Amino acid sequence: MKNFKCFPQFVCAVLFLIAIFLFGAPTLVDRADDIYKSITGSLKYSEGLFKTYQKVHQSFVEETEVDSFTENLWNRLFFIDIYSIAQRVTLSVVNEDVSEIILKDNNGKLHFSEPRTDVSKYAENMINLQNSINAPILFVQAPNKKLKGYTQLPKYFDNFSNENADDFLSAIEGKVEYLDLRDVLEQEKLDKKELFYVTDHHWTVETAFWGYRKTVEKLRQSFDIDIDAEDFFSDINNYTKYEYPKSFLGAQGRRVGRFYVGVDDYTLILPDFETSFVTNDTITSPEKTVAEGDFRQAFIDEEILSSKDVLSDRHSAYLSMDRGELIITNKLNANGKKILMVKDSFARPYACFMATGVSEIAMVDMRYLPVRTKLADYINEYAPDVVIFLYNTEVYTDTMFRF
Amino acid sequence: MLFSSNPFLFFFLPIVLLLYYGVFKPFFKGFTARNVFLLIASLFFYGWGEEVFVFVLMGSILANYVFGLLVDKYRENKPVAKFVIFLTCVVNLTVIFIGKYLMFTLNNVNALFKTGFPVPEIALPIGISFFTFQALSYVIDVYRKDGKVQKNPLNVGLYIVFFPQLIAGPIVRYETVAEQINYREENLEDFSKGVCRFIVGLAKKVIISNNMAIVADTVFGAESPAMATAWLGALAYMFQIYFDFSGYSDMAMGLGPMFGFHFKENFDYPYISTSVTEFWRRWHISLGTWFRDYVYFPMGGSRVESKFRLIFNLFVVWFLTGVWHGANWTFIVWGIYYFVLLVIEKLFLLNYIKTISEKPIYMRALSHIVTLFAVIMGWVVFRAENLSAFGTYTVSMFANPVLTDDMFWGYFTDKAVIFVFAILFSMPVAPMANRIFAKNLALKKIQGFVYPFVVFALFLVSAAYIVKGSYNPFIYFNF
Repeated sequence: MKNFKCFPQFVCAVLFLIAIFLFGAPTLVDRADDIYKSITGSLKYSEGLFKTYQKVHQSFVEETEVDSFTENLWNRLFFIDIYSIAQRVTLSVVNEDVSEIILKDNNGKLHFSEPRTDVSKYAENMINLQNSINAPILFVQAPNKKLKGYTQLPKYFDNFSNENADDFLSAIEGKVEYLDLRDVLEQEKLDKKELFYVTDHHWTVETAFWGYRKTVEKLRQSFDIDIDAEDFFSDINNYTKYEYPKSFLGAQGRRVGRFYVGVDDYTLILPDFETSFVTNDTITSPEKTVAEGDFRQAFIDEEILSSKDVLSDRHSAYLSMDRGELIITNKLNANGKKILMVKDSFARPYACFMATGVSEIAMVDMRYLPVRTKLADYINEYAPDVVIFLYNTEVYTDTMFRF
Repeated sequence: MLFSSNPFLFFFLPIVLLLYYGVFKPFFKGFTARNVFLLIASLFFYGWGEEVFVFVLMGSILANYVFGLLVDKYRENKPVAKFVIFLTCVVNLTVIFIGKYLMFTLNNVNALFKTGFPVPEIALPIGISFFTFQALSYVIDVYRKDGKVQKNPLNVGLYIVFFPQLIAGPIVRYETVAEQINYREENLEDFSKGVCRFIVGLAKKVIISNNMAIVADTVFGAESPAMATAWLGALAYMFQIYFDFSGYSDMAMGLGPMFGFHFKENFDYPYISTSVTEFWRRWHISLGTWFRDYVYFPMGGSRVESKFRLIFNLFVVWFLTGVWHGANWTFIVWGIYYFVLLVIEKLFLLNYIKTISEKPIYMRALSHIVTLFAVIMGWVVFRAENLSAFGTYTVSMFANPVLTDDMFWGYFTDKAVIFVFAILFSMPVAPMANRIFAKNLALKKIQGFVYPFVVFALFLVSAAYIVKGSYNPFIYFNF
């Protein structure tokens, strides 16, 4: 050791070995069972020696490379945080990976990059749907995080979802009733800083509540459907806000780390008045209720809410996840209106607030609804008073308009 | 499996190191067990992405093992020995031809002669050009007595498929490692230096090259980029290919010593060259010397009687160099482009090149700029999807009336820091810094203290980009 001339390199080698074993070994231990199962699972379907070899190989490589050492690398967030520091140091506002581009805007908020899309066929489908069902449709266009006069995205990399939504709404104009919440928030001069999370693409719970209130007003004006005659349920003063500061790293933040733009605060809004609901997932577990009780018991996922992990998806605190069909029954309003809501993930808090003033909401998510289900037949069979589409601007895709 | 991937860093490498140093080195005498283990590990490494072709690779090992034995046995019987060498070339080049050039050839024959030969869909096996050239090197070096014949086929296998150099080079000549297979010394000093070299290579690939690849791939994929954008894309590709290729070589040069093997340098700051001749002395040295020693010199090299023969020899070498890089006319044009440039230099500028270091600085600067320009134009044809795309791209570079567009400003601003890194580290700043530190004891101490943490930080950042799933293209699928 006396003549050892490479002490700095030796220190580096030791650190390197510690790192690769420290992150590799726990991952392997944690995932060994899954890797073993993937191999034995592919051995079951023997189709000759060579094909079996290929199948085992494919399962092993996929399970090890993707599921184990990529998605579930031990303490993966540590590396994502280092990535976030590196991106800050290199002054990069564009984060490109294999599946998504995450952009940082002039206000330090994160955005997905969205291409320009031809939405004419989606508009056509929507008009056809309205013509083939008995209930009226209200298409509610939720706002996008890229806000007019507020958000500036890096040149060349842009989010064209507002333009896609504009095209869609102008194509259904006069044929399907719509509420463009983007216009309403401009008219009401809302504080644009507060409408969206910094690290997640969803609107905040407060914005979702505002969207719900505006929908109540629109239903009243356009369809003479009143789901809150006394302006009680849609009055924020009848609710309490619970703050969870610096607790939420959203879907966009999870891809770029905690130190890129920081971590979001989360606010839970719960009613102060008496409530009683039942929720049923009629596709995956029709035989039993999902949850039952007051607003909190029926809608709020306490596990997500109470988790100390910033990776815990707080937006899913309301209704936990998207389902193909979820029926919410308001036990205190048996004679109220019946709404069918075709929705995306923006609707989770929004629908919960809306449920306070109706007798039943059927939430339908086209991503998870069985392909064989024809939406027009489904609506006619369900016979709602109104069909509400609550879509954000980034879901102009074939799946969401396959009807 | 790629070096710049999660399974390599956190699964394959730790397990291989653990078994090599924890089991095979302490508990087995001699190198046989260690070599067998490295061979199995290397086949596993290759089979990770090529589960079918790994069997062809094993066949190639066996065939070349037999050719090695035959050529050694009949070395004194020239006709037989030469027939074995001929057979070695035929077998190896047939494998590479079927795997790499058959589709290209049939497509061109069909297009040219209006024939309808069915074109089979053959997925190009990764690294085929590298290991085929190594296999050829083994038999030829044995014939030339530049290395001893291996009686054990597993040792031949280890030479051909040793994972550090298997899929992206450098092309290790048999004479370089013949001794090391059975007599090598693994020590802490080499191991430590190897780790640092590996990390530097990983950082070059992941931090610089991959970021440059985002720019290059977008710009080269655009229909009609503005003039400045086209230049930005060309520069980005110039840096991408250098930091990718030299990064992979550094990783190989680092992994080798971790197991007691030492390879020759493959890159020597090629972008500081002041002539195309110098560029090729600094770029992909293992390929250049392979062609020199196994093709150019046997044809007579430059020691030939007529200039025509010299030009012919150069043409063959550079045509083959182009073809080696991929089955596409762009690579052939690229090879011939360098043939033309090198002939011009050899015939008209030889004296100027030989005395360039004595020229005034502005002359050297001008030579550097002209060389870089030639190299960039070479990379444009090399990167283009086809010759027509090359034409379109060149028009954008020189004749697009639109100077800049959003793409230019978007990437120019977002990747500015990475471009600065790329420019800086394509020059020998690290050796220069080392020389400065060596002269001052205080600075040297600071360097000694800071160095491991800086290099380790580079590893963490590189791993972060990989774990995050950043853009991570593999550009050797053509080779």
